Amino acid sequence: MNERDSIEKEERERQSLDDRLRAYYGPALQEQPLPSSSWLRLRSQLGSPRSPRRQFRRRWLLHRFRGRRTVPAFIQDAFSRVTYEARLPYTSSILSCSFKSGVPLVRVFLLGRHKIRLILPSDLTQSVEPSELEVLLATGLARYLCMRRPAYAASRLLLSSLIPLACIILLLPWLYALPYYTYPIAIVLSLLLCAAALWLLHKQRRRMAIQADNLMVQWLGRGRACEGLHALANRTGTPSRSHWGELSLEERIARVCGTRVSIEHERLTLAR
Amino acid sequence: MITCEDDLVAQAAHGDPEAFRRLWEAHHAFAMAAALRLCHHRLLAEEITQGAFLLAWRGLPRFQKGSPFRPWLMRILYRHALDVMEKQRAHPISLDEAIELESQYSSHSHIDLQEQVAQREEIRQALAMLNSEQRRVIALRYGADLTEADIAQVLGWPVGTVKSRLNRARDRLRVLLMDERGESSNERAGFY
Repeated sequence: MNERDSIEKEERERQSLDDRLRAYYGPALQEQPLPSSSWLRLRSQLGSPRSPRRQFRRRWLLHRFRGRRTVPAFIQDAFSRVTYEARLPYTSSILSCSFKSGVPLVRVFLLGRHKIRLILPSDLTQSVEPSELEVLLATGLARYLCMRRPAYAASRLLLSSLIPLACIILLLPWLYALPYYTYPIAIVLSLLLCAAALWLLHKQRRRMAIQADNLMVQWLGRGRACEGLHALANRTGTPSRSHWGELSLEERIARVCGTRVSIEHERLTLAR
Repeated sequence: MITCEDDLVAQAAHGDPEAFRRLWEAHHAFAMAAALRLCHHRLLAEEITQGAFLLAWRGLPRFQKGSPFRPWLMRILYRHALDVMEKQRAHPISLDEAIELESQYSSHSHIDLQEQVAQREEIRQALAMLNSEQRRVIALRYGADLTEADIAQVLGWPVGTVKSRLNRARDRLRVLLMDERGESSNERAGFY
């Protein structure tokens, strides 16, 4: 008897909740036409139509260069959403995707056709969360934009040129047959120069990664970015490990979410 | 059979804005109504509708030929609306603004409206306590009247996941709303 009562009570509560939620959203509305100015605004964002000649050339080029790395539709959709949030024209050609075992990651290249290379785990393609995918794509796009800045490119070129300079310094005593005591000086000098150049390149790349994360947060919102980073951190066994010139996932989470609380405490970590 | 809409979609996919304008004219009012029902905010709904059409324009080359346009557009719209609403959660509508909005769509007295708005606020706060996935699934179930299978298609989750998240969201909401009711009745008792 009590069991039946409790089932009935549960059913009543469920019905009441359903009614309240339906009342919250309200009934289906009648069609809501927009003024014609809305179309004009949308039209201005569509871009110019492609001429048949240009279209033919584009198709030919696509056919000519289409490799095996086709980007799945769900990734293209996600990338399209990210470019929309970034208020950038959508160009799927800069994106490529490959599947390897390991954790999902994104690599950015300034040269070559595909600037953003997404590497997804081959066995877990179905379970990559949308938030993870958006964080990876937004990170890739933001880093690409930051890397294209003239100031970044110029300083990187300058710092990179220190390494050949160090090699020249190393070779100078041999080339000009300088006394033997100059050899260790040249070796130490070139090693110091190389180390300084690598350290500065590392610092510069990390600064760029921080700027890119700020952009990513602007596009995706702090909550979504934080959710994606937590999901990526949970996937890797070592979120505190960072590669050269990179921020570790733990550092990124600390910067983006402002906390190191794990994903289980989502209510504490997501910005409200 | 090739319909007129198929032709328009094909032309729009080749970059013809005039064809896309005709698609916009045929579907935007329906899309706007759906967005408005989900977010209860006219400006935001307009932004969502415009954004969904822009995403549709970009996605047209991948549109499966012969399939109906509206369900495809609505899937884009719902996904986009949920993303936009998640981002907007940091700036909820003020109570005054909500009363004003409510009065535009209803003919109740001011006191009734205040009551309605208070109830809505209670639900809104409870929804804000759910996690992002649970909020999405609730919005699509009750704000878009989608079935579990449709929700699975929109969000790209398996149907089982949709069912379990929906059930968990309902359980959590029930607890949250009961807590809130308990607190408010305690407050009232203390006040009187």
